[in-house]
Amino acid sequence: MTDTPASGEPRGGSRTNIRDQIAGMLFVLLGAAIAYKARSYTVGPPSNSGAGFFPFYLGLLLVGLGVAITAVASFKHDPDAERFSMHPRTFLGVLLPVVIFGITLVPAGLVLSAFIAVMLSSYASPEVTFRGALLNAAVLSVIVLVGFAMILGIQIPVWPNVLIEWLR
Amino acid sequence: MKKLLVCLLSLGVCSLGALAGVTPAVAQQWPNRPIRFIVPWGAGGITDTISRMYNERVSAILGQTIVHEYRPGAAGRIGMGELGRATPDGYTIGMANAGQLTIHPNLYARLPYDADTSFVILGMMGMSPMALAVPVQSPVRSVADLRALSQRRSLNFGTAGIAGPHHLAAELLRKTGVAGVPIHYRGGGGEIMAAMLNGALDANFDTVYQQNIFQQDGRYRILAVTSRERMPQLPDVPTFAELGNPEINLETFYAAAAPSGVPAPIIARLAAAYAEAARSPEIVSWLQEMALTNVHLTPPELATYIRDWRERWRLVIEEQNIRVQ
Amino acid sequence: MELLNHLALGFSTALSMQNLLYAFIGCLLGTLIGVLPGLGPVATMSMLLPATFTLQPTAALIMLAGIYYGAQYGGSTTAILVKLPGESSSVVTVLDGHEMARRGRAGIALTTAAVGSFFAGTVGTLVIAAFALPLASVALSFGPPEYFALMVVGLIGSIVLASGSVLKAIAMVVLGLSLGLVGTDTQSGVERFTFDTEELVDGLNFVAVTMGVFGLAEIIANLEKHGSVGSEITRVSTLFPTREDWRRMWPAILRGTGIGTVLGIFPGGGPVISSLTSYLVERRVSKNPEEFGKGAIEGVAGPESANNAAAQISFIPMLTLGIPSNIVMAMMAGAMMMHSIQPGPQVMTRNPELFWGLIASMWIGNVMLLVLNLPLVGIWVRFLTIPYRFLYPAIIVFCCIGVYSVNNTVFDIFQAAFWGVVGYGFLKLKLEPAPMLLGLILGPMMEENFRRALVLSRGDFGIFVSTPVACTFLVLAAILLVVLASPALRKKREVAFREEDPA
Repeated sequence: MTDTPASGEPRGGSRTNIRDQIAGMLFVLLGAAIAYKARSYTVGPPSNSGAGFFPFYLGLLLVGLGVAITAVASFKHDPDAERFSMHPRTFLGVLLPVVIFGITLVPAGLVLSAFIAVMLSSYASPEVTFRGALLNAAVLSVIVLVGFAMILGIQIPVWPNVLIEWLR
Repeated sequence: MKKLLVCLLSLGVCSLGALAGVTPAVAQQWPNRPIRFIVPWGAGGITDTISRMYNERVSAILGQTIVHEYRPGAAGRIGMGELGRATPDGYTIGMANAGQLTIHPNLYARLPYDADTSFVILGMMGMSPMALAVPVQSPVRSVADLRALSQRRSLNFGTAGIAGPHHLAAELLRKTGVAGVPIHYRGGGGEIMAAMLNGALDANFDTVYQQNIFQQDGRYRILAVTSRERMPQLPDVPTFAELGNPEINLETFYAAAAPSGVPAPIIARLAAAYAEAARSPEIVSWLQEMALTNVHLTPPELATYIRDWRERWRLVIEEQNIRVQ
Repeated sequence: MELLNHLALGFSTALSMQNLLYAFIGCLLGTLIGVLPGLGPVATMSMLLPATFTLQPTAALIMLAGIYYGAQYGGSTTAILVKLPGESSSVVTVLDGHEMARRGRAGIALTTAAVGSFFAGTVGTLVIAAFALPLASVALSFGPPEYFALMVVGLIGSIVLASGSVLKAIAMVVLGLSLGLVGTDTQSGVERFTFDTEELVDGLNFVAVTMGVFGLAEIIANLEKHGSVGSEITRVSTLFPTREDWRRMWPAILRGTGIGTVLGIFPGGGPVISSLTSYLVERRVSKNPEEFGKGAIEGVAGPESANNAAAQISFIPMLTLGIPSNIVMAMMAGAMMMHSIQPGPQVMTRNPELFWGLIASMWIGNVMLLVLNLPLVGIWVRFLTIPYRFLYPAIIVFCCIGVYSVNNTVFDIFQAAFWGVVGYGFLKLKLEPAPMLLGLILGPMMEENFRRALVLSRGDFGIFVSTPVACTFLVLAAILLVVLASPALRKKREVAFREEDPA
């Protein structure tokens, strides 16, 4: 479907579209896994389909589409095949704070968790200095406390458990 | 100094767990801070409304604020799991329903709580009987008509989800010779009503309150109710018992519960507070408007009540071979 | 004439000082929670419910309605500014809205959304006032075959949301459909793909998925470019649409409003399908379809009007039948029950001041939102001038709080992080998430109605062509498929694809 007419001059990159090949193969794997797992539910005929019917055939469809994507990708070059660039620092710097926030929220409460998450997230950008991060974390903790906990009053642990126990 | 002592004591209690008898001082001081009330459903809706009606009064009786927390998910099982695991100090209580206590234990091998041992039921807040209705354009006028029709052709029953009370009521009815295929609707009420009116469904069970709204509107005809006695809203509608099927008697319920292990004096005060609220004239008249009934039982009586129901559902679920896993 | 009398009663109720105040509080609060990423009306219940408990029912309903529209308005603001659709219906707005923002046209996009929403809201309100009852009976006549056919149209249509390869877009729709199957199967009660996790029994958390694949992945992508995108966005040329913008915007708003008004009567899915359909139509009728996905103003004006018209129309089931079609309406029903008013058909006759007051306040709420939001556009846009290094930590933290607040569980925060990883993978592999999200929303409804229809017909496939409406939708789906696969359009798409600057 996406076969680019060969008229376009290859703008560098490899002869095959590696990006799409990887995507296609991932679809094949995922589709196969879904179809395999679906077999553990009742599949049944379309007229009397069970819980496994949709996932089974969707899985197979995904396998088929994956094969097609891989095949098409093998015959065409990537229109803009810049190298895969991975920046583990950015990646971790954005997602790690999310995970840590999830871990700390219930025991440590909103304010402390937000502070920690902002500090950690500064790792993602080389532009942020330590003092800048500290300032940002402090300001955001206050915003979060006032905005979410006080004004909107959403249901969320605000202060560390230990502190609450101690004050009691 | 006194505060420090209390603090140390409560810390000690926490670490020793519920087994160690709580010093009377703590029980006497209770409640000296707000009580959390876990609603295992989302905000809004009937569960939330009932809790709020009660807790406004209970909070006045106990002289302490009650804060509602919503833990929706998995038909109430997530919230119940959290309630079961909560520190049994009387500062965390919540709502429990028929589904999690009497039906799910018969369906799921693995629950995040033990319906028998994880909770103490403090009091019944309301019970919701069901009504069997047909669309108003249907020629069916009585349960006997419906039975006759089901012998001529296969009927479609609308339910709000597999193994829910709507579905189990239909299965009970099947035992009396009214056979039908259950059609499950995730959204319940609205989709079912549309299907009833366009003729896709022949009959359905739902709460008396819901069915009565549609009967008053001229969309449904109610054939019978599952309550023990006739409902005041529907004086002309017979109960199934009157029709010779006393086994079709069921109601879902909304109860207040605490995690087991809460000191007995605190349980006693909570149970008394909920009992007092349940008898207040505002609640009594509100329940009646909402077509809810109630029974006034003590915690041990409620435990028996729930065990009996669980056993009844086990039989129905096994006989009809209802499986979800 | 009767209608005028009713409206007069409605306005006299809604224009009382007290009710105006609550409408304003509701709109303000709704806008606020709408612009905070992921934070929905549900999260603020603990504050709102006690209020609705003590307020007069009319005032409570007016406030809740304000929150509902406010959140809708606010949801598109984050979709445009930081690529975070707050509501499922703003997924479509992200495509061209955020692109406009990246091209320094954030202010225009926001103004367009506000104007379109206001117009659509006004028309929607009028339609409710005049035709609520007949429309309700139309909605009731639809059954599983109609819904199934509508979902098929929607799913095929969502392929158009991607600007790259058609094949990859189809694969993403199918992936979304599969993800939608996670959770309890309605017909059999079987828990599928939950891996024994109670938190997955009700399915994936939509907010967590969108946060991950759009929001968090976008932050990573922006930072990888060393924050240059942040400074790129700050080139805010003008806040208000030019004459040319207005000329292009109006037809789209009109069409979008029409589409939303028609499709809004389908409970559930209404707003999403409407905004999607509007996007398809705009792309089809546009003289320059290659602009779509790169900041076409019609791609904001149409879908935004459509989803607001639909959101307004979706009040009909709740007003006329007492059937809430979403959480805010469930709260409204709850507020009525607490005051011993039976939500349902009798409200109109027994409590006319409440019924017509609410309808009048819908329009007043829309006016307030317009007045509130137009000046705010300037402020929102100024947020983009904050250096990105200060902005992104805030977005991360707000996302976490928002996603937690949906079900009050930290599991969903971990889910968002997981989808962030996936979204980053999509970015690297040039897979576009919008079709997947549509699949995720529409898939469960499609499967449910497909299987329900066959249980009802005892396995007879004839049921799918048994009614004219279902037939029409299926024919429409077939036409759409042919059009998508047709060489002419494929060429157009490829032109668009090749002209795209190497990102």
